[in-house]
Amino acid sequence: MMFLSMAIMAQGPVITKYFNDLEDNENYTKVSVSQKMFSMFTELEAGSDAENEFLEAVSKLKGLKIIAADSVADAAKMYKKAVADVNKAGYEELMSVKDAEENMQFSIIEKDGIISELLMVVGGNKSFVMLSLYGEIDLKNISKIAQEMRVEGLENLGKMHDDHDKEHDTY
Amino acid sequence: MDLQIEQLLEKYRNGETTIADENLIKEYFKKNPDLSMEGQYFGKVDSSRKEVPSKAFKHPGRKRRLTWLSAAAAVLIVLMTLPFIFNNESSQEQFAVENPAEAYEITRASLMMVSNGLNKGKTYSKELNKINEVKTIIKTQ
Repeated sequence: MMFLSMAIMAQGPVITKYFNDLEDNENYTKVSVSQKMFSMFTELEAGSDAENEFLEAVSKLKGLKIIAADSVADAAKMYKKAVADVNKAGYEELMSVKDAEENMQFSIIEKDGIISELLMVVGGNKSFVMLSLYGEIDLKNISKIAQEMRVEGLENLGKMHDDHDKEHDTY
Repeated sequence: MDLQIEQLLEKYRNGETTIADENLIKEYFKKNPDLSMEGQYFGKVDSSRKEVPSKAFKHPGRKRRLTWLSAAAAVLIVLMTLPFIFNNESSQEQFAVENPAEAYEITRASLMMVSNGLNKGKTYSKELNKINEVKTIIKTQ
């Protein structure tokens, strides 16, 4: 039982800690999606390449946890603290991006070439996001979702309007 | 068989004897072993008391205490791990999305965000490369 609880802890120790610390803080939205939910999505049929990539990514996930805030005064401080906590917890930094609007850091937990957790921390002027994906993470697969989506978005721009009209007719 | 014993046996059959009476009967039959039904009966009652089982008898009380002890230990372990489980699951469960449609939207948006972020890194490195290219062009001119 002790080991079981330790195994639970191992699934995203940093985001779990932040969930607890910010439990009563209404400024931060906290969401968690379980593997049970993911298994429901995978029964859906993929209609496009982007959806295909999405469902493939989801099928290997065990959990998703998000902490997000869009109007907190101490967002920059939170980001700094979060990044420090992530590094201290033994995560490997994958990459960090900095621009005028926000800072972003991706960190991973990897063992034998398999990424078991991808942790993204974003800190803007007033916004803060911590997002953890755990399970088996394929970075190539996940980065393709947005790429495919962009292509399809351009292709379907005209088509979408037609679909909308049809929907209204059926009502 | 004397009269007193005869009377006591009569009382015994009627279930009216006291322990002292019964002891008197037993004493009598011990001193005067006799082949009558009563004589054999009381002789047997006395000797069977002294019988020792061939197997050593273990008192069940100790074993019972042991199971009580292990139960207490189990409860202690549960109590000790409860805060961990509670911290990690129960208190986090209140944020779990129960509606599949909502969960789908959140998961989709999250993966898009991560995907965009990962691509942002790529475009950044591309832009950095461009800057470096420009720099080398300037240098060579």
